[in-house]
Amino acid sequence: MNPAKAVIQFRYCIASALNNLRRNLALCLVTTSTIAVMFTICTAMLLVLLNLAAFMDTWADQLQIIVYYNLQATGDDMQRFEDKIAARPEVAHVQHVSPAEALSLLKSALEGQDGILQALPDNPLPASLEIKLRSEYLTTEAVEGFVAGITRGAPVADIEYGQRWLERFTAFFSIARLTCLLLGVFLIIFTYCIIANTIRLMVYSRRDEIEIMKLIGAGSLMVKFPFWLEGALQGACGAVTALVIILGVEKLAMNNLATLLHFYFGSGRYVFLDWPMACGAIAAGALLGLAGSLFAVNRLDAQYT
Amino acid sequence: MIHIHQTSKYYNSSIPALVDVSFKIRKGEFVFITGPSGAGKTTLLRLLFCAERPSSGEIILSGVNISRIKPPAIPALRRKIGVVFQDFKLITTWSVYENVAFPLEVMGTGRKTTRKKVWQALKWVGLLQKKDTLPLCLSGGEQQRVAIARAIVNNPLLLLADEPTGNLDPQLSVDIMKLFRAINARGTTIVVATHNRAMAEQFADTIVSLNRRHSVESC
Repeated sequence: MNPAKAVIQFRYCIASALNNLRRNLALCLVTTSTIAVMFTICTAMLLVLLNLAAFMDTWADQLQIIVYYNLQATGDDMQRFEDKIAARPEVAHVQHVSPAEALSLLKSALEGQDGILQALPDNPLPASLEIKLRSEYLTTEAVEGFVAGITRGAPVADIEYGQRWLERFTAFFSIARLTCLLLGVFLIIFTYCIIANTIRLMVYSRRDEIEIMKLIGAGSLMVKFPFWLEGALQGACGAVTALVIILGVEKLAMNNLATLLHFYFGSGRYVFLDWPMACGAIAAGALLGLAGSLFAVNRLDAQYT
Repeated sequence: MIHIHQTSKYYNSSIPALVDVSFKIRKGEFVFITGPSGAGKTTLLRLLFCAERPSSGEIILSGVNISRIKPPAIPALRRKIGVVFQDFKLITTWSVYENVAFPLEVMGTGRKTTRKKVWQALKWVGLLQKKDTLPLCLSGGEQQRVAIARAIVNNPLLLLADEPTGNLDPQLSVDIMKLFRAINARGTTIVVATHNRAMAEQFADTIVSLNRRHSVESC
């Protein structure tokens, strides 16, 4: 085909799609609003997941195993044990904490209430070893395996690493991820059906027009392309609207939410959509709309000769 | 230009619409296909612009056997044919200008050329002043003239008209036929299907009579 003619036909298809959207404004607005609601829910779920994952990362960065020596452990015992631990591949960093240092830390933590400690005759705190693991070993299984491996024959009274909390949070995160995934898939299918049926309604309302276009010599692509474009535009508009809603909520509520996150989880860091993700969401909306309209006009050739 | 050879059309494999029809139309001829209602006039025209496929026989149009044409080639063929439908088939949500411009847009004609050709076609049928009107705001005769303008705007080789005066009063019918005559004088081959034998005798170069779907005579 002559490229100049193809450009003219392409321009015609775009103009036709925009005109059709304008003529069916009410139907178009309903579809775009529905897509926007679906996308808002999907994006909100994505943000929850991202923030949970970010929190997991932050928490994992802070995770350390504290080994409390028994009171009979000598300095040589502790040195041998610490050398052995430091040589293990899982270990990123070890820090010996003497009983005096431990007491000092406790005093600073209980600032203003240190009278409680003055009642004690001696320093009751044992020496301890703080161990930080490398990030690749920060899983429940790896941490538990490491702890089990170091306790045999060691001068150790107790080991603390927040195991119960770690297990619960990992389980909660897995359930949250699965729930979001299932709900997301359901919403995407739902949105796809909404777009497909809206375009089908538009095709149906314009069946006479399509028949006439075909009789006058419009090719299959020229009839279908405006519908594809309409679907993609509606999907993209829905996604943009959803992003605007999410951004508005973020502006209104996130200052307070950051404080809450810090209060409950010890971390003020929260993850929000960045430009690549926002562009990805718009592209996903357009693709979803395109897929819906492709399905809706798939049988046009068979219906109109 | 058109050679219809032993062409038959059956619906649902058994209901005959046309049986063993044969005739030829030369380039530049003004041909009327006449016959009573149900004789197969509309079916014959639908075969000519590939809205239907013949059950048997051959239809040669400008050297192309359109009875065996592949579906992707149909739009290109239709762009060479202008069709005036009995029910006008105008897109009611589009203005007169947009309706007439559509065949040119389908062909990828530039905006300036399109405007020039549409204005010429509308001037030709006397409706230039109504170019921005919606079809439903026009009278039957005016809608028919818009349909004619749309059919001739891209200078087709062949113009097919199915009962173009069926809904019009006698004076308007004569006006429309005069318009066809003028289009024919520019070199376009015209095939008009009508049950109005008197009209055919007044304007036709050739009359093809369809009788009980199968007998054909030319005069």
